[in-house]
Order: sequence, then structure tokens, then C-alpha cells
Amino acid sequence: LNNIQVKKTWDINKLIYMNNIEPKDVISRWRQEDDLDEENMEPSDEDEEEDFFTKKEEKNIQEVNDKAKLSLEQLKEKWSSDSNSLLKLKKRFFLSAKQRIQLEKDAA
Amino acid sequence: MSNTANSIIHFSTHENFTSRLVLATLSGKSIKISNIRSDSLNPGLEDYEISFLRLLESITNGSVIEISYTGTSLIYRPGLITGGSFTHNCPTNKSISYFIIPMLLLAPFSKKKFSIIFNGLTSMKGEVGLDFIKWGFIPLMDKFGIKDVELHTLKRGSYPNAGGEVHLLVNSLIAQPITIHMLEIPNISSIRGIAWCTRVSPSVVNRLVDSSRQVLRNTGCEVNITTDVWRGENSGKSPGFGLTLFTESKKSQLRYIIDDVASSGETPEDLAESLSYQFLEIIENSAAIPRFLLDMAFIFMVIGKEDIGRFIINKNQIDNHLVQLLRDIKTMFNTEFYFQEDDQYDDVLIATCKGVGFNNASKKIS
Repeated sequence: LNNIQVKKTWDINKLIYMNNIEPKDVISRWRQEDDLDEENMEPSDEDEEEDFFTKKEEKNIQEVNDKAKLSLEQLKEKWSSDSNSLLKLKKRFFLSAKQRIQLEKDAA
Repeated sequence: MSNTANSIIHFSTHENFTSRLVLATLSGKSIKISNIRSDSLNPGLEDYEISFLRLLESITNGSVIEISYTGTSLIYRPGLITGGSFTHNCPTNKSISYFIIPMLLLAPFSKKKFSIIFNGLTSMKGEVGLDFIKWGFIPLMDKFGIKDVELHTLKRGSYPNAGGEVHLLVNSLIAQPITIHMLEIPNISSIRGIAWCTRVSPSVVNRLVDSSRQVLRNTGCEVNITTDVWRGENSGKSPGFGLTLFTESKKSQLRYIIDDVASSGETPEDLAESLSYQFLEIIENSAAIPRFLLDMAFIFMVIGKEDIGRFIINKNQIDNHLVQLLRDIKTMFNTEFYFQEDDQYDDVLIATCKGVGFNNASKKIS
């Protein structure tokens, strides 16, 4: 029973406009990654000091470009020619007339 | 006058610098931005931010910008957007898209048409390029009722020596963007792309095309990538190459789009392969438009007519930058977005927002 964790599900609409929560934490709470976060947060006496000395310049603002977080190897695997992701994605493509005829031929 | 001093809206840090200034200009409210890199070794505004402020001053009439002695805080009191035609020289450490995109948000609501020539860097790692603006931002503006936006590339200029020249023309002046209802994920009919290069062997673009096709072939979709080789005078002062990939669909003019340019030592094959995989990721993680275009869509939704606009987004597209933008929008316009689940698709939210009934102030006077 201890394994069942009671998590509070957050309403994104409330979270977005709670100005006391950092945007970064909004996302992690909403995606329910917050328990991990808190573990990291607790023993943070030294961390805080380190934070104090490191410049906060690292934020890398403006880089909103949709960059994938996966490495190239992971991407290759994810999008290999008969992977689930690719099959799912294919549903969003129109088939050309030629392709449809080919499909019918294959089925027959 | 006395009450304007009280109503200054405060922001902190250089985050969302251009979009905050754009929102201030649109809403006509004065803002103060403090703590601009105040704990950095190189404090204060960067030269490209100063350059952006200059540009903002040129396209408005009556704007007041006060920068503190250390450059770590500034007060901006927006004037009317007047537009006009002139040349803006951008610093070469920032891509000109940094200047053009905010202009796209302001230009439709100007008194006169915008005709600005930008000199500088046309492509840079980590920032969107010209083809991205042409095939991503401009069709999105069209959707909001802003037609006749043109971006002419006169010269391309790669990193680091730049030398590019671009002409931005915004011919349509409208009172406010139209209310949008984008509730369907359009099917993709083909994949297109543009491979370009400046001051390198023209075979580079073919290598880009080949590698990209290799990856995208798996989708079973028609792939059509055009090449764009720049030579001589018009190709700027540095060698460079890059690739833009986008989709085409029959129902909607909106596109999934991504671009990248080579950093030093990167081969065309590496660039094209990794970009093509990321392109598939983008398609998977977007609903109507890729994340990078969302900021513009949301800003146009806010300043639209007093009606509820709806826009479909993917859950993965909500990130901390978007949250910050939504908060900034709330501070400036006092409007909130509401996200609701969609029963037609999984992993999708519908962003709804009531427009503020923004009126093009410059137009009423003329």
C-alpha cells in the first residue's frame, strides 16, 4: 500500500497564473515530476550556496526553438522504418493516388 | 502625466526582452525592466538589445526610452506605431530574425506601411533563418488576416562576418487580427524544404538534400527539397549553409517547420540527418503549428476582436517560456488563456482566449 503515492493533480489553468511558482516548476508540477524535484530540493544547504556563487546567466533565454532532447542515436531508433512512432505519424500524412493504388494492389 | 508615472509596469531580467517591449507598444502601457544581467560579469543591455531599442524608436513616434547609467534597467514609454521606410543595420552577433519577428507583430497596426531594409546576419545557430520566417511566420499572419507581408532576400550573410541584406515589406494595415478557430490537426500532403549555401561549393546543397531524403523517405510521403545557391556579391562575407524543412497540407496554410545552419566543422550530412529526425519530432509534438510560432499566435489572439478565439496545441508545447509569456500577457492586457482538453485527439489542449478588442490607435487618427 505504501507504494501507492497520492499525487495532487494540478490544473494547468491555475498553475500558469500562480505567480509565486517559477515557470519551470509549473511545468514539472503539471507533468507530475514534482516528487523528484522535492527530493533534490531538500538536502540543498550546500547547493544553495553554490547557487549563490554561480552566475544565473546560464538560463539561455530566447532559445525557444523546438529542439529535441533526444540524442541522434535515440532519434534513429525511435524513427526507424517500422517503429511505432513512425507508424503513428504516418496516419497524419495523406497518401498520394499512386501510393493508394499500390496499397490496394498489396491488399489484393 | 502624474498618473502615468504610477502605472508603470515592472519586469525583471532580460528574459522575453523583445516580446515584453512588443506587448508594451501594442498595449500603449509604460514598462520598466530592471535587473538586466545585474549579476553577470558583463552587466546591462547587450548591443543587440540596444539596437532593438533603436529600431523600436524609429518605427514609433513619441516613444521615450530611458536607460540607467549601468544599463541594468530601462524605462520604456511607447508612442504610436508609425512605420515608414528606412534601413536598419543590425549588429553581427545576432541574427536579423531577432529584429524582424517583433516587427511582424507590430507592423500590421501601424499608421504607415513598413518597408525596412535590414543589414546583418541572415542565419545563426539556434535562431530561425529567413526561410523559416517566409514559410512559417508569414503564413501564420495570413491566417490572422494580415496579408501582403513580403520578405525579400537581397543578399544572404552567414556567420560570423554577415553582409546580408533583407527587405521587409508589410503592406496591409488592419485594425485588429481576426478571431481564429483552429481546432483540427491538418493532414500532411507533402514535405518540402530549402537547402541553401553561401560561399561554399554548390555540391553542399545536394549533399544536404540527399541525406535529408534518406531519413524522410521512411514517412512514405513525397519529399521535395529545392536548392538555393548564392554566389558572388550577394552571398555575404562568410561561407555557410543550412536547411529548412516544412510540411505542406491541403486544408491549411499553416506548416510544421524547422531549420538549422551549420556550425564550424559540421558536415552537410550530419546537419541534414539530425535536422530531419528533429523534424519528425516536431511533427509529432505539434498540433497546429510548431512551438516556435506559438508566441506570435497567442499574441495575435489576445489583441483580436472581443470574441473567443480557439487554438489547438500539443501538451508538450507548454514549456516555461510559454508560461512566462502568458504571465506577461496577463500583466499587460489583463487577459487569461484557458486550456481545455479535447475529445477528438489525445495529448492535445485547446487554448481559448477572449480578445481585448484592441484598436489600432494609429489608424483612428489618420
